[in-house]
Amino acid sequence: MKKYKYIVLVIMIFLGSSATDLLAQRVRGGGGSRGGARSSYSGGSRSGSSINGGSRKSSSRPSTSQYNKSTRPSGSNNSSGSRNKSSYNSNKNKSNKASGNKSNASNKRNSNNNTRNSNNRSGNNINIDNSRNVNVNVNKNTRVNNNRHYYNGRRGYHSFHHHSYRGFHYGRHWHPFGFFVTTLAVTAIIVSINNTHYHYDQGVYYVQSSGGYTVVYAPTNIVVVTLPEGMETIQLNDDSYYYFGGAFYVKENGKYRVIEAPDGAVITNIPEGGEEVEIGGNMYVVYNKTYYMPFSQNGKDLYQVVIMEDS
Amino acid sequence: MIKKVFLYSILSALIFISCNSSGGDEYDTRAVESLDKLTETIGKLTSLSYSVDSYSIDEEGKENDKMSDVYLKGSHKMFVENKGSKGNKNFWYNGEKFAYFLYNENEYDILDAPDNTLKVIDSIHNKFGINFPAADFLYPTLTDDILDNYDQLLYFGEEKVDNVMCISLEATNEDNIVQIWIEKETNLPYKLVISSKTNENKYYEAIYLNWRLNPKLPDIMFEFLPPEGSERKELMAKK
Repeated sequence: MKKYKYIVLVIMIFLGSSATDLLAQRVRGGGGSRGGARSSYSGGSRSGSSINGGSRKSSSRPSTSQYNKSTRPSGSNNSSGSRNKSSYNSNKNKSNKASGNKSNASNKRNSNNNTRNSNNRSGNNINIDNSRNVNVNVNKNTRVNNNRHYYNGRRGYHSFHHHSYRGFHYGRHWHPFGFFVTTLAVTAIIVSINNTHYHYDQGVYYVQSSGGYTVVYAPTNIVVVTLPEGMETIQLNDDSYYYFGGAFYVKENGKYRVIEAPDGAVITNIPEGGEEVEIGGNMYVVYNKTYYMPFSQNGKDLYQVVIMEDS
Repeated sequence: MIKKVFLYSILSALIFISCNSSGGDEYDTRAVESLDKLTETIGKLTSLSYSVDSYSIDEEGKENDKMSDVYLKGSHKMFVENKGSKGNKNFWYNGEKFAYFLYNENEYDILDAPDNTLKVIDSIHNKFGINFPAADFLYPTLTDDILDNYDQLLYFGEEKVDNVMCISLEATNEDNIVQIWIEKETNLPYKLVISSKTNENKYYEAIYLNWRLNPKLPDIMFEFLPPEGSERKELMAKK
C-alpha cells in the first residue's frame, strides 16, 4: 500500500507543477493554460560572448501545421497604419478601447518618435541642458546637392526606411556641446591651434571659461594623439576616416587631425545636441553645421553626411 | 487484482490528463519558424542596443507612456534608460551589481546581482516586479516559452507596419492575445501588442526601434556612480 502512496504523490506533483505560475516578463508571464514549463531562466552563466548564450530549441515541441488564417479573429488588433509618423498626436485616443473594439491599434496610440527628445542621456550626469534636441522646421533656401554621389557611387538610401534622430551618449566621460565643468579629469591634455588652447579628454574638447571649462565642438585641423573607445572607422571611396562624437578625423603620421565632415560618410551615432530639420519634405539632422540623412539598413540605424547648398 | 485495477486507473487518468492538456492546441509551422529565426538572430549577437517605445494601460485604466533605450554587451552587461510618464529611471548591470537610479526622486540603490543578464532580469522582475524593455525577445527559448504558455500560435503572413514590411503572428491563451510583428528584412521584432482577455483595461503596446547589432559599447557605460546629492534608498520588494 505504501508503494501506491508514492504513486499518488508523484501524480500530485505532476498536477501541481502544471498549475505553477508562469515566467518572468510580459509574454512569458502572461498567464496561460499550459504553464509551468520554465519558471525562470536557467541558462549558463557566461557562456560565450553572446548576449543570451545563443538560441535554444526544445527537443520535444508540440506538433505544428500550416493553417489558413487569412483574417484575424475578432477581438485582435490589425496593425495597418497603426502609427502615423508624419503627424504626431500625443493624445491617446481611448474611445476605441472604451467601446471594446480593439480592431485597430491606431486608435490606441498615435505617436511619433520625432517628438520625443531623448537628449538627456546623461548617465551619471543629471544636469545636461534638455533644451537642445528640438524638431525645427527650417524654412530656408537650402537644398541637398543632388549632383554628388554618395556612398561609393550610390546616391542615398531611399529604398530603406527613415528613422528618427536620437542623440547618442558616449559614456561617462562624454559631455555635450556647451556643458560646463569646474574641473577636468587628470587625463586631459592641452592641444592648440592658431594660438588657441583647448583641453582634450576622451574625444571631448574644452575651453577655459569663468570658473571652469566649457565643451566646444572639435576645432578643424587640430591634432590629437588618441581617440577614445567607441571611435568609428569609415571607409569612403578608398579613403579611411575616423569619427567620434560628431567630429571626423584623418590619420596623419600616427595622429588624428580634425577635418570637415566628408561628403557621403556614413556613421552610426550623432551626439545629443543635434536638431532635426525638414528640408524639401525630408528630415535631416544638423549637428555642428553638418547635415546628416538618417536611414536604416539591415536593421541598423545610420546617418549619412549630405552637403547642402544655398539655392 | 485490485492492485492492478488501481494502477491501470491511475495510468489511464495520467494519459487522459496529458492528452487533454494539449488538445485543441494550434501552432502554425511558419509562425514557429519565424520566432526561431528571431531568436537565432538575437542569439548570435555579442552586443546589442535598441529602443522601445511603449504604451500600456494597467488594470485600473491608468496609462503609462515610456521610451526606453537598452544596451547589452556580452552575457553580463546591461544598461537601460527609461523615460516616461512615471518618471525617468535607469538600470545598470556590470556583471556583479545591479544599480537603479530614479531621476525624479534622485534616489538609487545598488544590489548584488547574478552573473548573467537574463538571470538578473528574472530575479529583479520576480523580486521587485520590474519589467525590462523587450526582455521577452532576449530569452534564448522564446519560441518554446510561447509554445508552452499559449494554446494557439497563428501566422498572418506579411503586413506593413509604419511602412516596414513585417511578418505578423498571434499567440493566444485563455488570458491574453499576444501579437508580434517581426521585421521581414532583419528578423528582429518591430511591434508587440498584448491585450488581456480577462481585464478590459489591461493593454500593452511596444514598438522596437534603432536596432544596432554588435555595436562597440564601452564598458564604462555599464558602471554606475551615484550622482552627488543623490540618496540611497532600498528598492522595495513587491508584495
